[in-house]
Parts: sequence; structure tokens; C-alpha cells
Amino acid sequence: MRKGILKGCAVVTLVAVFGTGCATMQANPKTTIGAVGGGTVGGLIAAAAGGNPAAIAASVIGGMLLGGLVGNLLDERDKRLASEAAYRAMESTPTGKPVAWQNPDSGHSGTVTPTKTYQSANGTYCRDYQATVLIDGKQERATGTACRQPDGNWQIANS
Amino acid sequence: MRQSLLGALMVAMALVVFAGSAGAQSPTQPDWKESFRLHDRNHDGRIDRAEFQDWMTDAFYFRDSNHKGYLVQSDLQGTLSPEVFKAMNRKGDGKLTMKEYLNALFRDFDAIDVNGDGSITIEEIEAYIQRSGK
Repeated sequence: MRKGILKGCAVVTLVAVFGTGCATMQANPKTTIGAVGGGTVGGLIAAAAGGNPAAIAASVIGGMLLGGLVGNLLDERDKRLASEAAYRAMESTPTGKPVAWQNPDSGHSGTVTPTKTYQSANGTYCRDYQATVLIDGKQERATGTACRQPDGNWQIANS
Repeated sequence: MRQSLLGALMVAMALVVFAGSAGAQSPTQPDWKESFRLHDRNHDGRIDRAEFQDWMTDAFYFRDSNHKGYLVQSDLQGTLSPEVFKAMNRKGDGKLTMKEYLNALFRDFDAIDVNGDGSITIEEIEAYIQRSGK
């Protein structure tokens, strides 16, 4: 089990811009597994399916963000809707404005809100965000940072 | 004269936050006062220096076509004359960095903040625009 967690952490570190997310994830193995599965697998599936770069980026960020937040509680359509919302929030929504998603089939919903925009020393744009998910009347909340890569992909910097 | 031009820039930048974000979602005219309120995080009716920097950084991000990390003259077309762009671009390389941009805008902030309390209000911005003849 320990070996599995460390392996997962390495994958996350490759995806992340900074390594800070790894320590957090190590402290919560269940979250680590959810985040790795949602983030990297989502992007690979989109790539294999011939998705455009924006769709791949949306899949990666949404999967990472929500995978770490609620693990396997979301179905595929939830994840897709949340991914699209996450991408719109990061790419084209001003700070403080929530982007909402809702899946009428599952009854699940959520929001992604950019909370701060800044530029790193190398010119990369990063944005802090707050994400919420409402599942069966219970709200989960997470905050983190995502940074925009040259290919348009947004990668989670921490969680 | 310089203050006047930068004042126009500040308002233009503020508008961009909404213009860029609204996309296809809303055809309504962007409102810088709405943008002001959105970035007034503690809802005290004032924008302090930290809030101002966050606001203007957001604007920079949305103005930066292709998100290349800096602004060129065409990114600011319709909001800024080439002369003012040149004045702000201290290095003279045609690439306006975040630092150059914020330096110019904080001079605006200081001019708006006439009572020197380290924060600005909607009324102070309006008075500044009026003073600047805009």
C-alpha cells in the first residue's frame, strides 16, 4: 500500500508545477488515489479519443481538482461537466466569479471560482481557486492553485 | 496630461476583466463599477493596494492575447495610444511586462488616492477621471 502511494505521488509531481501538492496527498492516501486517477487518466483518455487541446486541458484540471476533492463519488458525466467548468473558470473567468455545473441525472452540482491571479517569475500565469461540490445535500470544499502551461493546459500546483 | 492618459488606461483595463470573462455569456456592456465591487473582497467600499494589484493583474491576464506573459501594443488597441504604451514600456522592447504595467498603474492609484489613506473608492476614481478631463 505504501509503495502504491509513493508511486502515485511521483505521478502527481510530474504533473504538478510545484511539488507542494505531493506532501498533502501523501497525508491522505485516499485523496491521492482519487487525484491521480482523475487527473492523469482523464487527460490520457481525452488524448486517446482525439480530443482537442482545450478538451484535454479541461479533463486534466477538472479530474485533478475534483478527483482530490471527492474521489470516486462522481460519475463520468459529473466529471466531464466539472472539468469543463474548471477549464472555463481558469481560462476565461475573472477573479471572484463562480462557474457552476450541474448534472440533472445524478443531482450533483458544483462551482469553481478563481480567487486570485498572478504571474510567476518565468511569466507563467497561475490562479488560485475554490471548488465546491454538492453531493446528496452535502457540500465539499477545496482550494488550490493551478498554473497555465504553454500548451494551454492548466496544471494543479497544490491541493 | 500623462495622468489623464493613465487614468483612461486604468478604467479600460478594469473593463477588460469583464469583457474578457463574459465571452458569449453576456452581451451587456461591461461596467467598471461592477468590476470594482467584485474585487473589493472585504466589501468595505474601498479598494486597497493589494486588492488593486489583484484587480489589475486579472486585467493584464485577460488583455494578454495567447497568454504569452506580456502585452504588446495590439493587445491594448483602442484603449491606449502608442505614445503611452511606449512611455510605460521602460525597456523599449515592445513587450510590456507585468512589472512595467503595475508600476504605471500604481502611479495612477496614488494620484486617485488624494487623501492618502492607501485605498480608493468609486467616488475617488470618478473624481480622478473628471480631473483628468475624461
